[in-house]
Amino acid sequence: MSKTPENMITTKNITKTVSTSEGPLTILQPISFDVKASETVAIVGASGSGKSTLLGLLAGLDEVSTGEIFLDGKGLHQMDEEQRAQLRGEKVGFIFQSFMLVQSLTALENIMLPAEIRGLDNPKKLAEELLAKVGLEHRGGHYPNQLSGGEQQRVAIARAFITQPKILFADEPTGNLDAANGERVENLLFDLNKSADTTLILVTHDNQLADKCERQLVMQAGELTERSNDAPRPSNGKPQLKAI
Amino acid sequence: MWLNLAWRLFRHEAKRGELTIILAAIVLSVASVLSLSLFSERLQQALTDKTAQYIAADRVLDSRKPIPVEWRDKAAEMGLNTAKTVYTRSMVFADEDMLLVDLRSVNENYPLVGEVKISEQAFGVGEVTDELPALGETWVESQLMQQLGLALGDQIYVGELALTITKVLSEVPDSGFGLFGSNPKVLMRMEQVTETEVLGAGSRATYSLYLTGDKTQLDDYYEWLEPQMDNELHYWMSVEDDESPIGRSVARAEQYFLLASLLAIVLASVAIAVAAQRYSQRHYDPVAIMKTLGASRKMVQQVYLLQIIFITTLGILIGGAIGFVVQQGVVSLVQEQVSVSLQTWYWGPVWISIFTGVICALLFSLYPLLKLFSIPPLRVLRKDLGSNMSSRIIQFAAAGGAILILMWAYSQNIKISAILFSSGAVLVAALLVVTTGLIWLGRRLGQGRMGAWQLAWARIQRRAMDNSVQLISFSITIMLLLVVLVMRNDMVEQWRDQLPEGTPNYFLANITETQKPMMEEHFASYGVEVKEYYPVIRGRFVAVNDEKISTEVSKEEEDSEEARNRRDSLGREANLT
Ligand SMILES: Nc1ncnc2c1ncn2[C@@H]1O[C@H](COP(=O)(O)OP(=O)(O)O)[C@@H](O)[C@H]1O
Ligand SMILES: [Mg+2]
Repeated sequence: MSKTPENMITTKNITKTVSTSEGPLTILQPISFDVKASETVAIVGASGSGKSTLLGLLAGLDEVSTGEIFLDGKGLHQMDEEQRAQLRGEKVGFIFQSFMLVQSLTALENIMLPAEIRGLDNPKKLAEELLAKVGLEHRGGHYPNQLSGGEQQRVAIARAFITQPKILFADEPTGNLDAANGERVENLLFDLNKSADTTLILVTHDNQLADKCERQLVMQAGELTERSNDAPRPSNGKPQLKAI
Repeated sequence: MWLNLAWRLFRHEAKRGELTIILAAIVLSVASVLSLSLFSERLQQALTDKTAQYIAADRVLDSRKPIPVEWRDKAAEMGLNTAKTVYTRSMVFADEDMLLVDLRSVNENYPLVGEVKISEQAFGVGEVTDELPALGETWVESQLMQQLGLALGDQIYVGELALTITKVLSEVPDSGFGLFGSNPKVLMRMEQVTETEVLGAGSRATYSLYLTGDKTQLDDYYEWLEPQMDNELHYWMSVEDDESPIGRSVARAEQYFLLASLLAIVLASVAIAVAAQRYSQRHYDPVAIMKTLGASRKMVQQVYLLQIIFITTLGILIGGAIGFVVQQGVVSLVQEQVSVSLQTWYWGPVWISIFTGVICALLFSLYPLLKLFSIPPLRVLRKDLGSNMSSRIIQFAAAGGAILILMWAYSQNIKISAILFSSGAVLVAALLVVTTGLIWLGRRLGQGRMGAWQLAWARIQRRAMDNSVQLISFSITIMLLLVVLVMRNDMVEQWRDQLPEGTPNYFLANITETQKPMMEEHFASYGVEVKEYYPVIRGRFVAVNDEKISTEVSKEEEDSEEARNRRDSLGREANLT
């Protein structure tokens, strides 16, 4: 099995085909790329191009149809769901467009959740520290529906960092936020990421956000290409959000 | 630790009212089962107590010959209370007069249930006593004193024994239901019965052993006794296998209660099934999130099973409390008609209601829970992903099994359960055939037309399957409701039919021809309608269709069951009207 130790992610010819009522549908064409540890990578592309599908495969939420994926040296494609769940708990953090907080738990309890699942000591103390870092120390007892979108996403960021994951996956983290809140969340995400030295895979169709990453991969109809930083950037056909 | 998370989820959800429906369903099932079964148990007990008073014990062993001493000793050894009696018909003499009496010799423990009433003068109002006549004394009924012209303190001869009348006997518990001219009762102590010498060869006496105690003790005793009993000589009487009209009515009422409880159970089960489905759907996201964050399948299962346990426990506690209060209320409402005791506590209804709560909660939430457990973590990225479980066999098996188990546990009657269950199953099958038939027909009709039509039918099909369980449950509920209604009318009708229209409630006996005009006037002045006066005369059958009926006791006849029966019914004195 060939893998370089400094690679956090290695993919070899991964594809994803799903069966639909109109026959099999190939969502991802063979994709191969590596991501080094501590690297920040943006995956950009039009909606429906397959970005979230790729993210789901890389994070071990879904199974590849063909090909191989190694996450921190572990072959995801050889694991069953139980093994992948354990790996996710140990190495991976998540941030989603729709926040994905548990509605019947408070902000603080939501942040504690991954630590509890992993069985860490004193999850409450860790959660309180992170709550302070995202500036919500007075809102710990509030339920998600009592928080604004921006506040919910900050809770989600705190939740993502509590287990000190080696790699963080973010699927359109600012997609549901207005410009001001989006920017605040972006800054928080990159600050925390920098200080924790985490590998970041960020899916977005916001070019400005993508620019904050060291590397950009472009998804187009299931095909992934590398974009050099100075190459002209194709418009994705969507109006861009700009900070005022 | 999982307890922690489960408890936290439960607490928050309970506080936010998310669990109200499922909790209410469990509370409903537990409360209805507990109140109904506890009440019917109490009513049953009240009626059994009443019946026990008529036989003065819980069980009676009657015998044509003296009962072996070991039998009584064994009963005492097994912790039962015992009393012994000998009843016979005999002549008593006072001066020149004599009269056939119902002679009752009893030992010091008589009666085990019910009360003896006595008074100080003939036809006086009886008062309860817990004493018995002393040796050499006797208590006799008013009729004897009247017919032989006796007073308290006078002596009568029972066979060879002289006894002094010290009290007038007004009532004994085991007096039987004879209306006219039963012989007056004479109560004396059994210790002296041999001195009377009335129990010689050829006399017809009934020796009895009266027993009270725990049902299990009584059953154990009967199990020990039965192999030794001689069917020719011995007869076992129990208050519970009461064949009287009252006994049969109680048995019918109990089955009615049973059915009514089943209705409540099915209703509650439907509510639980619907609520559990909703609950499960609301938790698709939390489960996907937990799995995404690294929770194993086992963890998720534990968290949610614990939640179900919390909800069930809470539901059972609240339901138990409500059921108890309701039952208490119903008992005090009927207290005026039936003296139902609130003293005794019955564990049976408690267990059965807890069992009901647990079975309902577990089996009806099983399918929604299994669906919940199978939610893939990828749902965090693709909102439309649901459960990949498609087979509903588990759901039907669990729901059907739950209902059957509950029917059986509750009725303890496999026949009733099987009949109800299979008619329900037939109904379900019929409903399934009709729904699938309609859907199939719809698709056939829509074939060849544009896609929208097909899309609509596919949607209906999906919905129909989704809702089929609820549809079926509601149909069964309605079926049960109808059965209960029909049965209620039927039962009231049957009770009424037991007595013909206009059956009198009270009887007055021993009216002489000269008293008649006075009685008529008396009743007319109070507006009471007197239908008819019947002459009653005592007599003996001597022949039926030229076949002579012997009243003599002969050795051959004693051995012939047939002859004995004939003699019992026809050879004795009878009231002719
Ligand atoms: N399991 C599936 N069945 C059918 N279509 C799917 C499935 N998964 C993804 N798709 C389709 O694949 C395409 C890519 O989806 P996605 O990865 O969510 O795109 P993006 O995140 O770039 O907007 C979409 O058209 C989506 O509908
Ligand atoms: Mg997407």
